[in-house]
Amino acid sequence: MPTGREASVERVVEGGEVRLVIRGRLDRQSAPAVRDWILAWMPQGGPAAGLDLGEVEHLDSAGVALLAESMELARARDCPLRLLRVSDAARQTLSLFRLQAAPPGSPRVRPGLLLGLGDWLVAWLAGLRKITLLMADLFFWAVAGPFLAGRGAPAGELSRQAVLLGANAFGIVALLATLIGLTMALLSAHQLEQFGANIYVANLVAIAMAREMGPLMTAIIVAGRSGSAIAAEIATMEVTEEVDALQAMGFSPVRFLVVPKLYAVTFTQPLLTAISVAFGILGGLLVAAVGLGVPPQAYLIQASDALKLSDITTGLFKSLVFGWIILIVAAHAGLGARGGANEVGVRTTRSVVLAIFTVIIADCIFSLVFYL
Amino acid sequence: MADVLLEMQGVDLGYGAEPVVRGVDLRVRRGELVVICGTSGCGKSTLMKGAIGLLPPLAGRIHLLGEEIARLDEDRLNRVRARVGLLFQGGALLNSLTVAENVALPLDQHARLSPEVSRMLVRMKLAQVGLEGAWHKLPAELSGGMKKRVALARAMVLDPELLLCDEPSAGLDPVTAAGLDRLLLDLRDAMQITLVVVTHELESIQTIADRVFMVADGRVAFDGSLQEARRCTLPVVRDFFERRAPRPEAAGRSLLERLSAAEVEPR
Repeated sequence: MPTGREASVERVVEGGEVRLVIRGRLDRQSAPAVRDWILAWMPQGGPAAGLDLGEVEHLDSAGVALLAESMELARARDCPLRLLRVSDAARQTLSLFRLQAAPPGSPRVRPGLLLGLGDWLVAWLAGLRKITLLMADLFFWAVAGPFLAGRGAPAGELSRQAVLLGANAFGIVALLATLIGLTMALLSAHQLEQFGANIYVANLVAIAMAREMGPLMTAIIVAGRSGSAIAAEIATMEVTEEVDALQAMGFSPVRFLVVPKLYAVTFTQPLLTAISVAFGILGGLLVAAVGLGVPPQAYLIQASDALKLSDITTGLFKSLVFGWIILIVAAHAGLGARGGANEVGVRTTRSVVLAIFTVIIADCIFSLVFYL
Repeated sequence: MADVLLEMQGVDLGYGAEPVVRGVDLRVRRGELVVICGTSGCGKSTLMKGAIGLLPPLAGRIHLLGEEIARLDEDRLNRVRARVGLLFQGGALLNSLTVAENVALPLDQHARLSPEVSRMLVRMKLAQVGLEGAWHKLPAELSGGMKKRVALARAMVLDPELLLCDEPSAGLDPVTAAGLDRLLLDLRDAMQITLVVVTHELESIQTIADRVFMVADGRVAFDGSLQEARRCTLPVVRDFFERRAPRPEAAGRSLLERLSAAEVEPR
């Protein structure tokens, strides 16, 4: 029976003994077909049989693996199998491979539902403990450290981080805020027009941007843009032992790596949010002026009348908290990285997802506290 | 005790609950150059991380410069670390900083020197490793060997009493590796720095070692002088120093044997 490229298998019965004669090249090309044939032939608890390798001209690693697996399977099926007339070529290859008596390590057992839940809870509590310690460390080095330990953030880092986290995000935040303001105005314009209340587009856009959309959208952009960069930077430093090196030199990694970012985000997040609100209102102005015929001056006066100081301060306060959340989540994800480069990607993704999730939860809590 | 700079007593170290190295007893005396050797993955670098407190021991005690590190708070541990230099296997230079800024880092943390003196000191240390011209370069612009030399300059910038080097010559060409070995010997002789060098480079071991500390299968296999190591009859030590591959029986049975004599018909 031909079984693939340059290999054949024949079943021979001699004196009551069954022999499977394999001929030609037993390699990775022919191995799948040979295996199918051996499996088809091998019954449960069958008589003793032989695998005749006397006419095997070439045996490669895949062929050896096939033989070893067939022998194990035969033992499992209680169908004794012997290697017969092993050719020199086959013997040479077989002698190269060694196996421990038992397979290395036991296969990972999937935990049951309860055990899995327990593992998840333990891991979650451990993560909570770590993030709490990180926040305490961060608070110490950011607030008390400069006075008590005489050491603050490394010189020059604050301005560098402010540029990275704030100034460089200006363009994307301004563009997206304009588009959001524009979209909100377009959506509301049609409804308001029916009541002759076009001018109230300004109220809607201004209040929504200042209280909700400005802080939230800025936080989401910052989480995706800067949070991911922070997590990836710190995770890379972890896996390349740079964080270990800092510790070995007596630096607190939190003071060296996270505190400058905390200072920067404390300044830049409210600023970016203010910019976002301004550009959102500008987007609404475009729709009001071009689509609804509202004079720009009237739109701006209406918007400023609609906005109360509390709307602005609430939005800026929320943005500050969102910025801290993004930073702490990103730092926690980065500092927990272990292993190789794939961990950097995993940690970065986790940081972005968790930061956006936490920001939205926090926003819900703020809404309940401030508006109920 | 003052003459013993690093002491481990019955130490287990690992990254989870399972130890990588077990029951390690090690004493490094002032002025010694101790080589920790063994095959890849045997736990040499883990020992190094344990020695400086980056990895807490799962069992046993570690004394560094006379202080038990598990009992030190962060501030005191950092003061002890200021007297110890550590050269990481990959250099572990901070990629966002220039070569000069990297070398100056320990000075910023532990010394109160004027910027001018700091700059001069950094220049001297970079010159010592032959890299004065790399002052403004970023780590990404350096070769592997240059990174290691910058990392060595950084580890030496505070004139440590004890210098721990993790695979200093791994991956380097023979000339650069020999130069680095020479530099380590000069440091010991001229500046009386005590050195602990983790390596599996046989040439390096034979050039620099006063004492050899060999780890195999997570345990201490040998602790003695280089001459004693060369004469040692323990198979694992002999195989290592004679560059012999593990004996077949250690690597498992051949597949022919494994398929069992009964299953293989002789020709």
